[in-house]
Amino acid sequence: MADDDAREDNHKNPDERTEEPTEEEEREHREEEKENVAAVGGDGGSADRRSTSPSLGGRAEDLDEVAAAVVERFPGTVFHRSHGQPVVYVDRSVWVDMAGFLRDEQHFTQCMDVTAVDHLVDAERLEVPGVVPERFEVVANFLSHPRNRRLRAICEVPADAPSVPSVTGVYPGMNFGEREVFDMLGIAFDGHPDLTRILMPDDWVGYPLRKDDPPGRVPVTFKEDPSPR
Amino acid sequence: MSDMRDGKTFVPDPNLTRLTDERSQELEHRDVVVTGGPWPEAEEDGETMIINMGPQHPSTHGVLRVMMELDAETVLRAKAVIGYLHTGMEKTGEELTYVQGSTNVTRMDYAAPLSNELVFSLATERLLDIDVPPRATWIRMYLVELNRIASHLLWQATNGLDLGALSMIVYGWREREETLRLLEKITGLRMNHNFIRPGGVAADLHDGWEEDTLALCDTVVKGASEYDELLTGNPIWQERTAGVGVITTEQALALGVSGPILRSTGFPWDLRKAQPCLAYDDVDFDVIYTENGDCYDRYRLRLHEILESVKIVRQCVEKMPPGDYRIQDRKVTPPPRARIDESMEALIHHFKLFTEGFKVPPGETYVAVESPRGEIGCYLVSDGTGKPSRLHIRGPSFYNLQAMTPMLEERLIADAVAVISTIDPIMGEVDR
Repeated sequence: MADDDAREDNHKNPDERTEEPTEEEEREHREEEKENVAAVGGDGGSADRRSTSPSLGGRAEDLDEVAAAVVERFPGTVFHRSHGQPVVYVDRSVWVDMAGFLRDEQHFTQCMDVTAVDHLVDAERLEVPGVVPERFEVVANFLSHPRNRRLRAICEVPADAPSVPSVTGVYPGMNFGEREVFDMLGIAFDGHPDLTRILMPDDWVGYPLRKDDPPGRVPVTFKEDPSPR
Repeated sequence: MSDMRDGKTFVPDPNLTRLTDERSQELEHRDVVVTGGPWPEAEEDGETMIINMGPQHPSTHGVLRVMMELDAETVLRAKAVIGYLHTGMEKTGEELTYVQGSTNVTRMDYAAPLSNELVFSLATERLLDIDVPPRATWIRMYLVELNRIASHLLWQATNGLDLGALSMIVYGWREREETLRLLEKITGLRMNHNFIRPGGVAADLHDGWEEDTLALCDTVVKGASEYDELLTGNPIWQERTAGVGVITTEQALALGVSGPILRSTGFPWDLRKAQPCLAYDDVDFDVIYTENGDCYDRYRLRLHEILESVKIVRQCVEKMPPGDYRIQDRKVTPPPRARIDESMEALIHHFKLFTEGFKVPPGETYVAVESPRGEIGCYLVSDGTGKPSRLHIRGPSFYNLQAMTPMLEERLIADAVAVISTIDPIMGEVDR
C-alpha cells in the first residue's frame, strides 16, 4: 500500500491531467505531430492517434522503393503502408516469382517468417483499396541485411482452394514455417518438399487455428474411464 | 580470446567485436540443400539404421525428437521432429484480451519471458499508435538485458552439463539464480513475469534497485571470468566443441537462422544495433561475432554477450530517466489503486480495462526485437475488437532448429549433443 501511495504522488490526479491543456495548445500539439509524421515519410498516419480508421498508404510520396519495384515488376500488386511498414499485396500466381525477385534482385537476404490469418469471423477488417479480400491471408516477412529494410508480402487465398506455391525453393528456411501454416490453417503449399503436420499429431483431424475449429474439442479421458476417446 | 581473468574489467578483443556489415555485401545466394524432405525407409542392406534421440532425452532441452540415420557412429542425416510441447498458445491468444495477452506470450520462451512480453507489447502499441514514456522504455530495456544475462547463464550451465563439464551446471545456476532473484524483486516472479505490458511496465523499480543491479553486475562478471577460466582454454572442451557443428553464413541465412548462431558465422547482425528499438541507440555496446560458426564459437559468443549485456545494464543504472513508468492513458493502463477509492471515473476505467480490455483499431503489424535466441517477431492482426484476431509469434528457436540438420550431417553421434545444445532451442517457443 505504501508503495501505491508513493506512486500516486508521482503523477497526481491522472484523470484530470488530460483536461489541462487548452484547446489551442492541443491543436498546436496536433499540428506539431503532423509535421513530425510528415518528416519521417508518412508513418502510417499516426497523427490522429485514436482514429479507428488508420489512414491508408499508397500516396505517391509514401511509396517504398522496394515495394515500388515489386509493383512495377508484378502488375496488379497493391502497395499499402501499415503503421509505417511497407506491405505489398501480391497475387498468389506470382508469389514465388516475387520471392525470387526479392532475393536475387533486391538483396532480401532472408525470409524471416511465413504465417497466415483466417478472416472468417472478423468483426471489422482492414480495407485496403484494390485488394479483393478472401478468407485466408498468407503473410511473409522479408528482411534485407545489406539494405537494412523489411518488406511484408500478403497473398489473398480463397477458402475453396486454399493453396499457395511454396517459397522453400527460394528460401529453404521456410520449410518449418509453411508446414506450421499447413498444420494450423490447412493451407497447402504447392511444391513443398515435405508438407506434413509439424506441431499436431499426424492423425489429427482439422486445422486448429481456423476460426471454425472450436477450442476444447477433445474430450478428456481419465485412466479409469472405460469409454474410448 | 581476450583476457578476462582480472574479474572486474573486460577488454573486448577488437577482432571479436568489430562491427561491420561489409560481409553482407559480399554474400552469394546459392541454393542450400537442407532439411526435412520425406524420409524413405532405410535400405535393407543392414549398413545403416534410423534411431530416435528423444523426445525424452535429457540433453534435448525439453521434448525435442531427433531422427538420425546412422552408419555405425556417423550421422548420415538428421531431422528434427517437434510438437511435443504444443499447447496452442496462438489459439489461446485469440481468446484473451490485449491486457491479458502478455500473460500468455510470456510462457512461450520461458527462458527469456520478457522478450516475449516486449514484442507483444510493442506490436499492440504500434496498432494503437501510442508511445510509452522514456522511463518505461528504459525499464524495458534494462529488464530485457537482465533477462538476456539470465538466459545466457542458463545456457552456459546446461551446455556445460551436456558436454560433461558437470561443474558448470552449479556455477551457471549460481549466477543465474542471483539474476532471477533481482528480477523477482523487481517483477514479483522469477519467471513468466507479465511485467512488460501494453502501455508500459506494471510497476516502477523498487528503492535501491541501483545498488542491487551493480552488485549483480559484479557477480555476473566474476562468474563469467570463472567460466572463461574453466572452459575457454580447456583442451578437452576445445576438443569437444571446436570444428563441431559448423554452419556457414549462407546456410544460416537461407535457413532463416538469426541470433547467436548467425553471428557465430561471422555475420554481425544484431537487431539491437541494426534496427534499434527501445533506447538501444543511447547505450554503448558491441555486437559480438565470431568467424568459424562452430560450437566453440557459439560458446565464446554467448559468454561475451553476457558481458555486453552487463555493460548495457550498467548504463541503464546511470542513465535511467525519471518520469512515468507507463502511459497515463486510462483507456490503456489502469489508474493507480488509490484513485479507485476516490474517483468514480477511475473505478469505471479500471473495471472496463480488466473486464473487456481496450479496443484496437483494425490493422496488422509485425514487430521484431532481438531475443537471446535471435529475432523474435510478433505478427498481430486486430479486427477492431478487444481481442486479437490473430496472434503469431515468430519464435527464433523454431527456425534456428532447422540449422541442426546441416550441422549434424557426416558428424559423429556424440557431436549431436553439442550441436543441439549450442543451438539453444527452447521447446516452449518452438512448439508454442
